[in-house]
This record gives sequence, C-alpha cells and structure tokens, in this order.
Amino acid sequence: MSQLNQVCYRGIEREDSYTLAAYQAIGGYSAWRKILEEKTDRNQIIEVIKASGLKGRGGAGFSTGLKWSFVDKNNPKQKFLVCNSDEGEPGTCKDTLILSKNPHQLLEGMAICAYVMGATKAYNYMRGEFFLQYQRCEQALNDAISAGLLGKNCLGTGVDVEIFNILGAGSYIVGEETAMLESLEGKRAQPRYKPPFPAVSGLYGMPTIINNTETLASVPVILEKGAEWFAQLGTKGSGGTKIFCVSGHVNQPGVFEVPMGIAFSELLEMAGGVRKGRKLKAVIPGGTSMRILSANKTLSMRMDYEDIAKMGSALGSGGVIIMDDSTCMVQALCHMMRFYEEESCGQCTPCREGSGWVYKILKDMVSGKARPDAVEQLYTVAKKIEGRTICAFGEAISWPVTSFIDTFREEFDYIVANQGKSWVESQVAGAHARAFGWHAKDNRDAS
Amino acid sequence: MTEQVLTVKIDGKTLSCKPGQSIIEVADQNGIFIPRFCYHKSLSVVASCRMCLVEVERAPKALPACATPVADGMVIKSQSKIARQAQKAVMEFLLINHPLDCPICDQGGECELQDLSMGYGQSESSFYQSKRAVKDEDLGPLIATNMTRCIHCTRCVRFGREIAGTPELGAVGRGGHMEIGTFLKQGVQSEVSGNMIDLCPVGALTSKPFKYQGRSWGFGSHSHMSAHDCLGSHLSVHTQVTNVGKEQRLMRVLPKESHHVNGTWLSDRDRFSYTANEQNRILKPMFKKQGNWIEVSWQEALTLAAKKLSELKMGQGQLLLSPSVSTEEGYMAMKLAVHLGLETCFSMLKQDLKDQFSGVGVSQITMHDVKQAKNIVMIGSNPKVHQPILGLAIRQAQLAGAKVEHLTASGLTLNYQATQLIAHPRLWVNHLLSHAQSQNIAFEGIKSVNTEVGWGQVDLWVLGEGVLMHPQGSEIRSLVSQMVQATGAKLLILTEGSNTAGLSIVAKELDVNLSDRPYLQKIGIHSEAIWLHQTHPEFDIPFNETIYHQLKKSFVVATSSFWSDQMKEYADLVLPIASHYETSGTQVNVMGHVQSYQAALMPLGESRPAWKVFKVLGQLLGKTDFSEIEALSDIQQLMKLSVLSHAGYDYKVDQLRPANQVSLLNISAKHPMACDAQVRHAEPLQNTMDQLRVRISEQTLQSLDIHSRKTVVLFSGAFSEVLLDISHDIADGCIEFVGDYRELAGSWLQEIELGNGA
Repeated sequence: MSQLNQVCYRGIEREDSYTLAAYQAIGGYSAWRKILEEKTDRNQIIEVIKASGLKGRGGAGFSTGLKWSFVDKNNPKQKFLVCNSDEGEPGTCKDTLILSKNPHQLLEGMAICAYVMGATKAYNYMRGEFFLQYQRCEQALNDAISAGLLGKNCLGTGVDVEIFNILGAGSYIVGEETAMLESLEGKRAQPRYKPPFPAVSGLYGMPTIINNTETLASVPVILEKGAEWFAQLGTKGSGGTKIFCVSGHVNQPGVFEVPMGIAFSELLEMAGGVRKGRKLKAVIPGGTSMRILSANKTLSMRMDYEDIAKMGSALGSGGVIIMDDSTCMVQALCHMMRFYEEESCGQCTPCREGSGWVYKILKDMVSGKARPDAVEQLYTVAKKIEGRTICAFGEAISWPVTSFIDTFREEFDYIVANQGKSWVESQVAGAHARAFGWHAKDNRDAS
Repeated sequence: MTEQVLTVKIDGKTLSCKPGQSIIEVADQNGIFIPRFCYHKSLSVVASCRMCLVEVERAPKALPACATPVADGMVIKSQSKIARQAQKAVMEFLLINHPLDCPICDQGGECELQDLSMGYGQSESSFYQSKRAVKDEDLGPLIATNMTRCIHCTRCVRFGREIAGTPELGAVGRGGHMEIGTFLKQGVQSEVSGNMIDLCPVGALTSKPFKYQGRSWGFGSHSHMSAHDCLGSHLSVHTQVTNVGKEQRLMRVLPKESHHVNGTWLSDRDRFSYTANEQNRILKPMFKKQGNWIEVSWQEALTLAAKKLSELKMGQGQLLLSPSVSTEEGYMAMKLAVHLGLETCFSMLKQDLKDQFSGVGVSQITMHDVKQAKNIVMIGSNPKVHQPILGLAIRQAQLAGAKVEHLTASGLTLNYQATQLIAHPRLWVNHLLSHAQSQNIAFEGIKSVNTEVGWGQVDLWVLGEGVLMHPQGSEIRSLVSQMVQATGAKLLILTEGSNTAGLSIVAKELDVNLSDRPYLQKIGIHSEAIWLHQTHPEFDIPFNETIYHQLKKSFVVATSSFWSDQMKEYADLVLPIASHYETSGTQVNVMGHVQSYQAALMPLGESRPAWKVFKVLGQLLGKTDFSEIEALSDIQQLMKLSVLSHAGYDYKVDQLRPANQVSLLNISAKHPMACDAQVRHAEPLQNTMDQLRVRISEQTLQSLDIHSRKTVVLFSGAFSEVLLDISHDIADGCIEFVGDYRELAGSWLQEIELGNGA
C-alpha cells in the first residue's frame, strides 16, 4: 500500500502537531530560514515549483509555478497573497485538517509565496464554520511572529511578510477566488468578471495571487526535499501527493494523502471498501461540482488530473463521493441541487434563475409531480446555464445534472413515469430510497 | 503621437475603434444593436445580466459584449447561432420568475424586458412551477415599487453608489432569494432618486406620482427646460390629449440628454415639479371688490390694471419679478416698468446689491471645467441641495481626485468627500484674506489678517446661496474675483432662480431702474402700487409683518400662475399667467448657455402667456413700441444677448465694510422645495420633507440663556414652537432650520430671536 501523509499531513500523527515546536522538530521553517538567509533568487524558487509539477489543488489544477510567474515582481504597487481556505465544495474536507493540525506549514508556504511575488501582506481566508481552525491558525501565527519568523523584518533580514487570518461568513461562492477578493474588500461575495485577472488587478485593484491551502502547504516540503523528490511521488503529468476525501457509502470514510496517480481501487480499499459488501454504483471524483462516473469507468482509473479527465470528469478538489447500488440517482441529484439553489450568489441571470428551476424540476420528479417531458427539460435547462455565467458556478450546476442524466437516464425516466417511485427500490434488493436519498443516515444503515 | 486605431468586425461590418472600448460601445456607436439590461453607458460594467452575450471568433464560449474589450482583428457575431442561443436562454431565465403582468404595469410600452422579449422570448412558457414573489418596500413619495418584477440588473444600486453617492439601495439575500431593497427600510432620500425610475429596465421602480396615469405611446413629447435652478436641465415633457374636449394634460417630465448641462440625469425637483401644473391655478382674471373676489373679463382686468398703473407718479411703484421667468417675459415686464417708472427687482435673496451690474449673472465656465477641477473651494454653497446636477459634477471631480473644501456656517451632509471649514459668516471675509495672504495675493488698501485656512492653490471657486444672502456679498465676490484674476482659476457664482443671467442682460440693455437695496428694506417705504410677477412675497423674499401691511395698503397687481392663501388677502387684481410648461421662451443659464424652448401645452383656463399680457397692457397705456410686437420672435429680435460675449465679474471693493454684529443669525437658505410657486405646489416634492428641526450649538444656547431643550418659541413676526437639535457642527451664534421650514421662509441671514418655551 502507498505511503500516506508525506507532504501536507506530514507529522500530524503527533498530538501537538500544530505547535511551533512540533513543526520545527520535523524540519519546519527550514526552507523559509534558508530563503531568508541566502536571499534566494525569486525566479529560482519559481523554477523549482514549476519543476515539481505542483498544480493548484483547489479544483482547477493550474500550474502553481506558472501562476506565480504572472505577477511582475518589479511592479511598484502593493501586492497581495490570498490563501483560499474556504473549502466549501461538498465532499471535501482536506484543508480543514491542514489548518487545524499543520497550520505552520501553511504559514511557511504562504511566507515563501509572498516572498516570491514580492507581497508584504497575505490573507488566509477561512470559511465561517472553521472556528477551531481559525484559532489554531491565530495561535500559530502569533507564535511564528514571536519567533521572528513572520511579520515585519523576518529574522532581521528586512523581509516583511504580514499574514492575517480571516474568518468568512459561511458562503459557498466565496471560495471562488474573485468573490473572495470582494469579500475581503468588505463587499458581497460575488465573483468578478475576468479579465482582468487577479494577477493584474486583484485585491483592491492590486496584483494578487490566490492559492489553495493544500497548494501552499505543499511548498515548504518541495523546497526542503527538492522538486525531483516531489515530482517522482506522482505521475509524469501530475507531481506530488494529493489529499482525497473519501466519503459516502464506504466502510471507513476518511482523508488520505496519497501519491498522485494512485489506483482508484486502492483508494477505495483504504477507505474500507463499499459499505456492507454492496456493489459500487457510481463515483463523483472531485466534489459535487464535477461530473459523475459510473462504476465501470472507475475500475482501472488512476487518481490524477489526466486519467480522470480521460474518463470524462475531473480531479477537482479531491472530494471522492462513493455511491453504492442502493442510491437513487434522482434523489441524490435533487439533494445536491438544493445546495446549489441555496448557494448561487444571484448575480448573473442563468445561475440565479436556473439553479432554482433545476431544483424545482427535480423536486417535482421526486414528489411525483413532474410532467412527462421533465427529463428533457431538466437537461436543456442545465445546458442553457453552462458557459453563460461569470464564474464556474454555472458549470457546477450544469455538469452534475447532465452527467447524472447521461449516465443514469433510465432512473430519471422511471421516476417521471412512475409518479416519484424510485427505480432502485424496484430493481435493487434491499434498497430503501428515502426522501433525502443517498446521504441520509437511515438509508446508509439500511439493508 | 497618433492614437492607436483597432479594426474589428461586428456582424460582417468592418469598424474602427479605440483600444479599451468594449464591444457594446463600438456596436452602439455604429448603430448595431446588442440586447442588454445591466449595461448602462453612465454606470460601471458588471456583466451580470448576460443578455449581451455574443460570439467572438476563437473564444471557447459566448462573451458578454459589455465587458469584453475589443482587440485588433476581433470578429464578433451578435446574431450567430451561438449568440442567439445564449441570448434566448438568458431571456427565458429572466422571464420565468417575472410576473408578466404587462397589462397592469406602468412600464408597459416602454419596458426594455417587454421590448426584448419580442425578439428573444418564446410565445409560451415552459416553466410551470410557482413564481417568485417579493414584498414591496415604501421608498417614499416619489418612487413606486413592485419588486416582484425586478430582474436584478442592479442599475439602481450602481446609480446610488456611483453617481448619486447615496448608496441607499442594495441587494439582500442570495441566488433566487436575492432582493433589491434599502435594508434599513427608511426609504430613499437622494435628491436625484428619480433617475432610478429611468434606469430600471422593468416596472420594478416606477414613478409614484405618475402611477396609473397613462400609457407612454399616447404621449406627445416636447423639449423644454427646467426652471428651478440656475443650471436649467434639459427636459422632455410628455403631454396627452384627453378624449374629453381635446384638452391637453401634462403627464410627466423626463430628462433630455445634454452634454453641457445635465448629462442623462435630472434632479427630483425638476422631474416632479410638473405635478403642480393643475394645482391651485388662477384660471380667470379676478378683481377684489370690497373684500370679495369677483371674476372679470380680460378686457376689464387689463383696463383696470392700466388705469391704476398710469395714475402712478414716477418712482412710486414697484415691480417684483421672479428670477425664473423667461427672458422674453422679463424683457416685456421691464420695458413696461421703464415706461411707468417702476423700480424693479428680481433678486429675491441678495442682501447686498452694491455690485448689482458688475456681473450679468454669467460665469465663464463649463460643466466640463467643473468636472476637471483639481482643487475646489465652495463658499456658502451646498449644491447637493440647491443645484443637484452641479452636486453630481462636483462629486465626479472629487472621485477623479479633486480636493474639495467648503467654507460654511454649518456642517453639510454631502455625497462626496470634502473638508468643511465651519465659521460664522461674519468671519468669511477674514478667511478669504488669509487665504490670499498665504498665496501672496495682495489687495490694494486692504489689510491682511492672521488666520489659517490651508486651501492651497485653488483652481475653482464656487460661491453659493450663503454668499448671495451675505450682507458682505459684494466684498466676497470682489475678493474672490480678484484672486481668480491673479491665479487664472475658474469662478462660478451661483445665482437664484433659473434665469437671473437672462434677466440681468436685458435689464442692462433696457437700462432698468434696478433696486439698489435689498427688497426687504425697499418694500417698507411708501409705495402706491406693487406689481408682482410670478412671485409670492411671503415665500419668495425675506418677509415680515411690515411688508405684509405695506402690501395690504398698496394696490397689488399680481400676474401669476398660482394662487397663494395670503395673496387672496393682499392682492387687488390678479391676471392668470401660463405656467412654465405652457410658456415658450429663452433662458440663459449661469454658464451662459442660451436656450430656447417651446410651450409643451396650451395654457390652462383663461391664462395667457405673460408676454402677450404685457404687450396689451403696454398698448393700453399708449406705448407705441408695444404695438409692433406681434410674436415671440419679435421680442427675441429686440433683445440683444450680446452682453454675453464679455460676461464676467468686474467689481472691485476699495474698502471693507465692517460685518454687522448680531446676536443670533439665521443661516438657513431658502428651502429647495420652496424655491418657486411651481415647486411649492408639487405635492410629492412637498412630502419629501422631514419634520422641522432647529440646529443650534450648545454654547449659543447657553449664551442666550435658554434651558428648555425640547421646544422653544421663535419670535419672528409670528410665534412658532420648534424642536431643538443641539449640534456640534454649527458655528456659534448661528441657527439653522432643517426639514420642513417653508413656513419660516422670511428670515434668511437675518437676525432672529429665540426664547424659552412655555
């Protein structure tokens, strides 16, 4: 079995892993100290990150080194770094553990990134529910400042990196990077139209880099152990490790930091396999915004950006949702869409109106009130949203709907034709599809 | 360096454009229509309605034309399959929750959603679930709401935030639950709030006074001008011929775009004053016989007026003229006044007339200069209240980086950032002198003083109502104009009414015997006959008991559109005059724009355009030159507006008069919603006023030995009880009315008495 917890979760088995002493005991802040002492050339660090093959872990998978190189270091304007710790994607719970168990590594990563881009101010934006995590980060920040590692004039070298922990107010869309900038500026969290991109005009109109927590927390280890070490952990196209949050119908749901490109079957095994020996029905590999994959597509799938894309979905945030054969796909989708209907920011028309419409059609299906052409309509409405919104929320509504219908069309047709009666109940032994479908405890424990 | 020119192709047309322009701007310039809701040329771009999605070659998906900058060689298709599909999808989404209640919606017929749904919507809805419903909010007496119709374009929100500077509306809630509202539920207070009605593409925000009054397609549209401030905004006046008796009705007023005055905006006062047009109008000539008003014919009325006026000996009568009448009207009235030897006054507020003819009321400045200014000093001026369109321009200058400073007697609530120097008016001259000293500007024969103002190098001076009413007004005007000459700065002297400039010019041409003392003092002396044209002294001039008794004693001829309660007591003969909207004429604004307009509708009842009345009166008095005038154009040929070419201010004080020492000075300017009879009769505007309060400082109260904080009796000819508002940002020795103080009109910059309440 692959080695666990080599990068972002390194050292978290210790009870006091979040303290400065514990972090420094495993070599923490050595990369940052080295940079400060040697005044390492910024381009050199960018080259290392590029060579490591590190890609954005928030969902889009954009090359981190390349992103860092977009900010002009000689620009006299104030530059900002923002760490996206909002982690709102349903099925994802990886950053919370970094924030609560390994906050120093994140702070070190932020400091390095801020140094590279020439930012003197950095914000760590956490979602409103992350209260313990916020406290741990605040403690870590204060300790690091007291130790002279962060803040003004780090270790007497004249380098300023001021980091601020920010607690949001609990909205999904604030995890979209430009919405996060709006929120930081004290406005409603509504995504901005791009261009201009944040690297040119971000927070308060200044050059800004926004990286995911996992991305930034990987940086110190890459610099400590070298780009090559990191790259060889993963596959050719996707370097390093990736944290997967395996949830749903498995025996031991959990968070696993494993080398990129691990076989899906191995990951499933780590999570104890499908619950109670049932058959695997479907997998959402990267949080609910990504397309669903039927079980047969996942058999030989490797968990990296390229292979999942080949199967027709995406690695996304690494929230792997497992569904067994007792899951009613219509109810599962209905439940997911309730979330999106609630969380649309309301700014642009297709998403604001479409999210509600999609949810209403699905509710009608589940309650048996749907019209005969409802499946067709649901599909077209979802298609009408896709690609027509300011941010990727439009796709986050559209992709699940279209992929659920494409993959499990007969279930949708069945529920419409049978006034809300679920296909699984009639076809699968021991399946009790209830009102809230696959996620509900009573359903999970059934059979 | 030549400017870079890009070439793009939209719908097959090759067009040249500038870098930085958006696709929609280029399309609009070239007459290619791209549908839109959230985009407005005067507001920021949010790209949120998605109606303007177009296909751009080599782009992976349809792009919003409003937010996509053009690039050289870009090929844009606004009507391709991809574009049409996207636009139709957006239209469908917009319509699913829209109530589609067009038949009972005031916006019906001029609704952007309705119009575009004809081209992009389906005839049948495929949405069969229940629609969203939103609770309405009371936004005050001007804006009617039906928020269920809202399509969340946020134009109103952006207007408040970006243009008006009063961010009162905002979005509350997320997704389909998002609602536009004030959150605080206190209504909308902005002085330019009516523009949100124009901006709203649907019937969510409509005009309350116009609610259910008519359908736009039946209206005639007439270009006109507003008459409530010295800028003269351009209007589009809508009228309708009613079925009964083919009578015309004034339906509503909208802004007419003009680059050099109001842009696309209009103040609420200019927009809603039309509601007064049929209120309390004088419809027939009336004569007071032994205390009773009787209707008389025009013939009788004019003969009587001529007889009374011709009996006057030279210098025994007076003409009090509103500064908001058209130049033609003013020309005729003053011509008559010259013949009859009447003393004339059209400066209602001016306290100090020493420099009466040194300026013709025209400042050599444009709106563009105001917006471009870098360091603005405003003395006794609050444009947000008194000239809202100028206020928007100052705000625009400030947003562009200008420093704005106010010299004022009490703290102003502004919609832009400014530093306010709060000082008693009698100290204003001193502040000017110290500024001059800091800038090394010397005045002959005037000693410098030692105070600090720190205004730096000023490039625009604005003198407002505070200077107009100031007893040392001519000193302030003179000092500032000398500094302007020395530094090359710009000067804007705001005037009262809408046409002080035009009237000053013709008064100079006619060599009118203009009153050289404030009217308050003048009217007190014995006067046989008083002729009031479009004025109600009890509201329009600093008024008191003495004036009232003088008016009652004299023979008062009132040529006016509106009655007032007191007019019924003091007037002896009233002649009905066409209202502003029923009048053709010419106005000259404070920046020297000469603008003519045509009457929008026929005069109500038996009222007649004033120039015609004056012409007949002149003929009856045997003045031959009046018989030659046959049409308005004849007057226009007679008046020479040539003075304009050397407009400006050229008065120099040689010595400063000492400031009057008064114990308590009333610094309230004439109420903006009481500026003329038309506005005073516009009910929706009158309803925007808050309760009357009196602002006064703690120290002032102590020095006056007043202890009662709640109610105080105000002695000013009459007794009134008022609420006290103890303020920190008002100069000691000053008192200011806020809210509804129409009734207390008669005491601007006058000494006032205050006593303990009962």
